[in-house]
Amino acid sequence: MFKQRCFISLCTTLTLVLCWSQLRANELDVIDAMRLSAHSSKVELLARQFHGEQLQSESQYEVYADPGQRSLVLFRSEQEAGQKMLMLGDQYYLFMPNSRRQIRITANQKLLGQASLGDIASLRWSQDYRIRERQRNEQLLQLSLEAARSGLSYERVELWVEAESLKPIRAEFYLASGRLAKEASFSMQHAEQGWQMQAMTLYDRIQQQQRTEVSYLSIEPVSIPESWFNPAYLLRNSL
Amino acid sequence: MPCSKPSFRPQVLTKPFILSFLLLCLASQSQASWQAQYHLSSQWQQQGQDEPLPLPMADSSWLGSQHLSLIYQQQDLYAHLRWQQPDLEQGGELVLPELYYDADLPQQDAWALSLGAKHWQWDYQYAYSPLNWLGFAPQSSKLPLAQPMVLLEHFAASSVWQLGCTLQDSPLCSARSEWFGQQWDGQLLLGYQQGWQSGLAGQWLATDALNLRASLMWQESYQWQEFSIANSHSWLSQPPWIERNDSNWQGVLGATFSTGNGWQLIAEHGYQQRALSAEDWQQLLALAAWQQQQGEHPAKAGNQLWLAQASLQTALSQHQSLVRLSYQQGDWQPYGWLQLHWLEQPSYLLEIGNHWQWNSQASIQLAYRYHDAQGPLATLGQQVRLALELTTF
Repeated sequence: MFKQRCFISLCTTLTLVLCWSQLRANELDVIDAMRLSAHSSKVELLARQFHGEQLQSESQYEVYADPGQRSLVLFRSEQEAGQKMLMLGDQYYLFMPNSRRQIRITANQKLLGQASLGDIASLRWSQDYRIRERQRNEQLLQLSLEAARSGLSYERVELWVEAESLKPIRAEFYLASGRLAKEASFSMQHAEQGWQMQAMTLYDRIQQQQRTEVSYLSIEPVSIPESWFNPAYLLRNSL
Repeated sequence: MPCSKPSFRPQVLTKPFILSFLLLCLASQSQASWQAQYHLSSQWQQQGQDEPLPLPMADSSWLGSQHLSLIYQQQDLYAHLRWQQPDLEQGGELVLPELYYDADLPQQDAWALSLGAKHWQWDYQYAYSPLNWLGFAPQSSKLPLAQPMVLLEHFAASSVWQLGCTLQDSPLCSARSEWFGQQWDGQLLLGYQQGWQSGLAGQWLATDALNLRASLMWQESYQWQEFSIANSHSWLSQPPWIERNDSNWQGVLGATFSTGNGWQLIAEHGYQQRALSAEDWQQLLALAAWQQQQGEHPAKAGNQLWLAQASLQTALSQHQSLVRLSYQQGDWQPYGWLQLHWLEQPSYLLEIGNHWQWNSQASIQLAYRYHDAQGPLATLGQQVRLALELTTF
């Protein structure tokens, strides 16, 4: 009898754990789906960098992301033409046309820029972060996320979403030192398939005058050749 | 720090070739892109001291250079045509630094081919790169020219295999494998050019801020000039060099430390077995100084030649180090670097400067360079350089 109770308790516990894991995954998966499909995608981004109210620069990117934590970023602005960045999980490689080789960059180096390379390349929160805590406050749900792996730009993210739809409202990004690095607000549009992210504005909290608006121009499912995720392939011009 | 001692003759072009090239580009179809880059550099320099070296000294002088590059790209085809004038007081010339064709093999996603003159950087190092075998351009060259070659590549999930040959009189053929890991990248090379040569390199991301790397290369047959006079104080009718051919080792250790707010510190130390040793330099400079004291012009001319040949060595000293500190904040990138040649008395070369990206099409660089007052770099003195680069799309 005692063994039977233990077995039932164990099963119940395991079921709860599995359900909890599923629920955790689902929340971030739902939010990710507002930017990407579940399959390989091509995303066109426009990043506009402001100092105060003055537009400083515009950069256009094509991001090829697959479900396996891999992203290839192609810089499409005229002044950055030919630059490429490859993210393979924790591994980051940068290709600059003048250097003629892929440069392996450290986690710190990808923080550079208003919209850091990490911000551009990492489009799936569900793969990078796990939910540490949830707090519901009327219509808002606050998700406290912690890095699920090393090498991420931010160690901790506080994300506020609409409790019912999980539509993201705003977020805070913290460095490993605990310092608030950036805040983000999100512009969403309701389409046939649900909420879609149109734009994200990143406010730099270290250099207070800086902000970056990242607009998602198009998102489409694509088939990505496997060789595109090989760092040596960055040297080829066909990309 | 090149791996051998190749000759880099500019691929100066004939008019029919240039015309054919332009017609080919103009006849090409859509999705082609053009880019023009103009670079103008003006440099003020003051030579170093006259003692104890015998090279002729000028008080100070201005030197200007310019080049105009035209870059054409259409998917797999890449062409770079350049008109260059290294000295504004002399004529210019047209060269073709790069012209190549990059293509994936049909029906084979994992296989690719490159044909033509293309710059490649294989080594992981910043300044000293003994593993840049193909498409290599010397670090010391301001206007490097790539070597023609053919290269076949196979891409696997986390590695690449490459097989290539340079297209020249004495071709260098090599096989290379590089693999990419979670914290480690590594590469292994094997090649043949008048003798076997092999290379090995690795880089390791030690922390979120620190990248460590090492390169090692061995050559069975390496040609260099050896200083042949020991403790000689006499008039020489011939330069004190003899051609030698023997095996050679090179090795480099490097590290890069970077912060998230734009600071970067690079440190590298390189060793080349067949470079002039500290003892060679000591004897050469002693001989030059002794002959200088005699005050005869023929000796002075001879010494200029000898010292000039010494400076043509692929590395000025067996041991050399580089430390570079830079900071990137928006459009500004101030930097400073120090290069050390480990002779009996270390000789150094220091440069500090700033690169300013004015807008998307214009940048300006201002730099000051100072050479040690003693040793083989002494006569180079000091320089101030102002460079402007314009790019149109």
